Formats: sequence, C-alpha cells, structure tokens
Amino acid sequence: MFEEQRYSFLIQQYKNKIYTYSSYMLKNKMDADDVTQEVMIRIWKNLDKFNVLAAKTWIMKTTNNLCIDYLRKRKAAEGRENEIDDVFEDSYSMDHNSDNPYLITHFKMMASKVKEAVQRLPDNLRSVFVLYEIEELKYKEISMALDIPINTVKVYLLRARKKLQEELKEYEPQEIF
Amino acid sequence: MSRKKYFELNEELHTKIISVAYGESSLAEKIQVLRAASKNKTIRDLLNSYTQTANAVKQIREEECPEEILNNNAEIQKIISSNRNSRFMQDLYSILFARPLVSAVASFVIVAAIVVSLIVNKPIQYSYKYSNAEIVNADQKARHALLIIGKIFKDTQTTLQNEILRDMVAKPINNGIGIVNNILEGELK
Repeated sequence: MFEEQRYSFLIQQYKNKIYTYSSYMLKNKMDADDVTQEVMIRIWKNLDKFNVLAAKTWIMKTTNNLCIDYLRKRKAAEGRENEIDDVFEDSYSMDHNSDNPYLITHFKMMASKVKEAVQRLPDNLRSVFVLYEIEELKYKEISMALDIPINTVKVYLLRARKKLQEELKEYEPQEIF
Repeated sequence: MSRKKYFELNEELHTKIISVAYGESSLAEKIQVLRAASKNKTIRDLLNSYTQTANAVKQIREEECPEEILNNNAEIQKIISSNRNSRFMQDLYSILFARPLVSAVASFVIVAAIVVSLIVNKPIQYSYKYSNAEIVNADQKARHALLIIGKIFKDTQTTLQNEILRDMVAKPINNGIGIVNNILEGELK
C-alpha cells in the first residue's frame, strides 16, 4: 500500500525529467519513450534500495545508463534520427508576457535553434549541459549521476557552452530583424 | 600587466565572459569583464552573443512526459491503478484479514486499555460521616487559624512601613542628600 504511494509520488515528481533527458540524449521519440518506460519499471523494482531524498540522483543515473546503452546499440543503425521538431514540443518559458507576435516568433525560433544546437553537442558534453541547464541539477548531483568528478563536470559544462556558441554562430540575428 | 594586455581576449577572460553571461560570476569578475567589454569591441560582441544564448537556454523548460507512456505500459498501469483503486474498506480488509497478527495485537491492546481504565477509574465509596458538632468545631478552628495569619501580615506591614523603610532607607538617603547640598553650597561660596 505504501509502496504504491511512494512509487506514484516518484513517478509524478520525476517523469518529466526522465523524458526530457532521454529526448535530448537519444534524439528519437520512440527510444525516449522506451527508456522512460524502462526507468519507471526499474524504479518500481528497486523501490526499497533508495530513499526518497536520494531518488533524484539514482533515477537520473539509471536514465543516463540506459541512454548510453541505447546509443551504443544504435551506433550501427541508420536513419532513425528525427528532426528536432518531431521530438520536442515548444517547451520554452513565456516569462516576458509579450503579445507581440513578432517577438513570440523570435523566441520560438531562438529556442528551436538552441535545442538543435544542443543536440549536436558530443554525448559527454550534452549530458552535463542538459542536466545542469534544463534539469537544474547541482554539480554534485551531476557528478554522482554520471560517475565523474565534480571538476570534470565543470570542465564539460564550460566546453559545452563554448561548443554551443560555435554551433549558433550560423544563426545570425540579422535573420530576425 | 599592461593596460593593453588587460583588455585583450585570452582563455582566462573568455572563461570569465561565459561565467558573466550565464550569471555565475563573482562581482569582481563581472566588473573586469564589463570594463574589458567597454574598451574592446571584440569582447563586447562576444559577451553579447553569449548573453543572448544564455538567455535562450534559460527559457528552455522540461518536456512534458506524454501520458500514453504511462497508459500504454501494462506493468506500470497495473501498479498505478492498484494505488488509485485502493479504498478504505480494501485497506481495512488488508489489515484485518491479510495480516491477522497485526489485527490480533491491535485488538488485545484495545481490550486491555478498556479493562485498565475501568479498574483505575472505579468510584471511591466514602463510609465515614461527620456529626454536626464536629463540623462546627472544625469551622471555628479554621477561622481562628485565619485570624492569626491575618494578624501576622498586618504586623509585618506596620514594621516595614514605620521602621525599616523610614530608618534604614529614607533616613540615610536624606542624610546623603544633605551632605551633597552642603558641599555644593560651600563651593558656590
């Protein structure tokens, strides 16, 4: 009885994180769905092995390991990569509260370009970048989830930001204005 | 370091520019980068582009996990629906019948608590009764005792006001004030 409640709580709390990370790492909706389902099943099977406070790290570590497995299996596969628009919805913040359609279009295009550029990052840099910037994990949590030292996390994050900037150089602001 | 080198783009400054753009720099670093940007157009452009990218990254939110992922998997659905359908009676059934030891212990504790409360709270029977003369005698003795206590309080109050406060407190204070007055008058003269 209590296990089911704990499980439901964990699923509601972390399902979006699992799905988001899988989507960015695998760049494929079907694989992201599979990984998300597999992680949820593993959470149920290992419910007694971690407490709720340490759940985030365990869940993201499991998700990362499964994504790595899928990427390795897929290395020989061809033509399974979808365009980013097939994977992602327009999940960006509208904090600016603008009704200006011009600005809305600008932000949509910018977010879309950034997501595409994130997907072109190398796997090791992309994992750290997504966990830090989108999933909002701390350095220590990322270190434990990916089994790498904290300094390596910081270095990868810096490299990811530089690489992202290089990828976005082609996206000129003049295209908008 | 020469002034020219201070505003030249190097690896260290590049790292600081990224920190400033992503809002993770210290105040000193921010000031250094902004000063460099004000003097060097390349640095300024780089800072602007990094800031623009950082702002776009901050706008990105988590993706919503589609509900069909949960709905289309039989194993997950089984676990979640067993939690949704659990009602009070099902929970009670599982406690009483699925786990008989728990229900037996709970019943014993409840019965023991009832028995103990009945024994402890049994009403006391008074068998002895007093006569009217005994009651009147006890009343007179209580009044006499209260009179004595009242006299003691009154004597204490009188002693405090007339002797202690007057002789031990007010008199020395007045003497002291008188001495101070004499001294002051002597100085004025």
